[in-house]
Amino acid sequence: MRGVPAAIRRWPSRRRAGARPPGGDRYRRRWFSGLRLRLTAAFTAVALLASVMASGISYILLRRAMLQRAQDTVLNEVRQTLSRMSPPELPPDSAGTLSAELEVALREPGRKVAAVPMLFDGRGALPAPGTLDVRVSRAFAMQARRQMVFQRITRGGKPFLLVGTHVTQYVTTTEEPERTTPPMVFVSASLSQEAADLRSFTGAIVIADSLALAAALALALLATRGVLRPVRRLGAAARALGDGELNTRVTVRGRDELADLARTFNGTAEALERTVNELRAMEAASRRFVADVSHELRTPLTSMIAVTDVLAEEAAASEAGGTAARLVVAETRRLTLLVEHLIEISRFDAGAAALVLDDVVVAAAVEATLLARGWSDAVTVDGPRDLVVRLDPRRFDVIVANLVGNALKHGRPPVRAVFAPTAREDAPGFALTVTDRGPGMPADLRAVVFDRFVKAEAARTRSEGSGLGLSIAKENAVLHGGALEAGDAPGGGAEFTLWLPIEQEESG
Amino acid sequence: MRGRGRVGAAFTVTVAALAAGTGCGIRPTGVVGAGTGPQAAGAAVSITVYLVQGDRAWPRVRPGLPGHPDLGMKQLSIDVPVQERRDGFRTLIGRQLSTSVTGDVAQVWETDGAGPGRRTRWTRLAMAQVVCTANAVPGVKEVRPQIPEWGGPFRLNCADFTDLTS
Repeated sequence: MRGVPAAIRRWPSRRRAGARPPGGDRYRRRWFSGLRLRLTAAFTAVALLASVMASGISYILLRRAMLQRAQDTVLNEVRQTLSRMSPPELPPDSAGTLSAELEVALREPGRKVAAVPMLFDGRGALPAPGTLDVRVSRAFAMQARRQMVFQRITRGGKPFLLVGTHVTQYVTTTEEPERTTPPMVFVSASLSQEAADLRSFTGAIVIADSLALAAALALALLATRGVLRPVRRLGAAARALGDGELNTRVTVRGRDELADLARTFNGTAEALERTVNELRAMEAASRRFVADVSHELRTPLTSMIAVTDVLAEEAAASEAGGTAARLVVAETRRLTLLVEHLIEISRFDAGAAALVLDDVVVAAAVEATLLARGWSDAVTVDGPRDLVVRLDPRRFDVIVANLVGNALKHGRPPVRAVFAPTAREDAPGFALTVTDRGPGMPADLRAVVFDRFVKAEAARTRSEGSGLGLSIAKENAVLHGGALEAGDAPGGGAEFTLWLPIEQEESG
Repeated sequence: MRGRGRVGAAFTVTVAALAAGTGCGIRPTGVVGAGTGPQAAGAAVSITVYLVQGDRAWPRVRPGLPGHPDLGMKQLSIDVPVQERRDGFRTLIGRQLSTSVTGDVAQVWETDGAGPGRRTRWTRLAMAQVVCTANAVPGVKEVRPQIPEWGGPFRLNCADFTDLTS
């Protein structure tokens, strides 16, 4: 019996599990900090990143194409107009006439044109301030002398395209080049329409990305729900298994890793159930064996006690004094006590122990226990005389006798038995504390003091007790719905505290 | 929490970097080359201008501008180019002239407020310069100079000055 873990002994039988376990708070906590949030966040983040990247790339490509088209339009128009209207050779001093014609030809809404005479002093010709929408820098003008150039410039928050160029392949003279050289042409074109189109596109992207984000979030929630449902089932099943529902199994769906995990879980649960059942069977057989042996021993032991009593009386009259006979009597009585205890503990193990309740005056019951065992003078009792509780007087007697007897045997006087009404977890009850002034309880003994066959002096295999007294006392306390605890008294010595509820449910 | 914080920060940095790289709106640029300038490939037209060499007016062909057949009248009042000057040509017209061509008739007059140019001495040779140059405009058969110093009105053409032209 002692080889079977208590948790296994307590495990109840069959209940098909798999539903959501209790504890809504735990679930809510897990939602905000668990795998679902992380998976959803990761899924949404990836979708958002992809959406933003796609939008960004689309934006860049569209902007590039839009600006390229706008630039090409202006550049081509300037190039073609200049080429078409500029003759290979100009009459002297006619650049002004050509300039005026070029300005008229190139001028459009949102576009300004300045045709200025070419300078031959090493400086670039610049249009008069205010002629164009943007200022033309000297560097721009210098580069425009050699080739066609353009520049995007923002002025007053508005974007403009500035184009500058000068025709090539014309004939002039070396003596008076300034009189027959075509003019420099500068064009400023507004890009406000393109900027407005880009703003509209940006707005559309933001809306599209928001919708994509919302859709990604919804899909993430659905996906994580689908992924985590088997995980939750497995968790619930594992908890049920831990609670003793050994027949818990999960449904295996699909062929993925989670299905493999579910199969593994089912296999493990099956093996565990088989093992525990075997242990239970062994435990039951062991209990039956002990109970049977105890019962079988009790009858011959009763006869032996009667016979040994007679032998002891006869031997006492002899000259030897009957020492051997008294020893046989004592050991037979001890064996009888052990058998009685084994039978008692077997009843607890078999669940056959039942309370026979009665209204009991605690003070009277304690004093009666002490009086019956001749301990009245050795123990100080303190507590309200009128405390009446409903309990099984025989089992209460067993508990008190065990606790007081233990204190008298292993502790030192004074031994005190103090009781008082005490509520635990809002349940009304009373506590009976038995203390002594002995050496106290060894630390290594405290955790196992209520286990069976545990004795204070482990090396002493032969002792007066059966090693089952405190176990039986604890089982009786538990049977009442109470508790029995062991510890050290504040002033030294051991202290055992029995707590029992005042009211008992009638178990029949 | 710390791990999630790191992931969140990395994500934010990535998005911010992307946004910065994208750069909303139209961004300014430097000066960008767009190839060589356009070739002067307009229609090559010519005009005839009568310049004085010695005591006669001589026709000189100069490049013109498309759409400006009467450009020669304006050319009369500008400085003669070095090359022609070197050849002995000069002009007697000091101030800019205005021309109006209607049908085959060209009217010529001195432009009001024509600037600081020297005042024209309206000799017969100067008038030959004007009438022959106007008569050289395609389609013009009659020239009506409105020069107060001359009186008039006159209806002339270059044939009226054959004694002064070559």
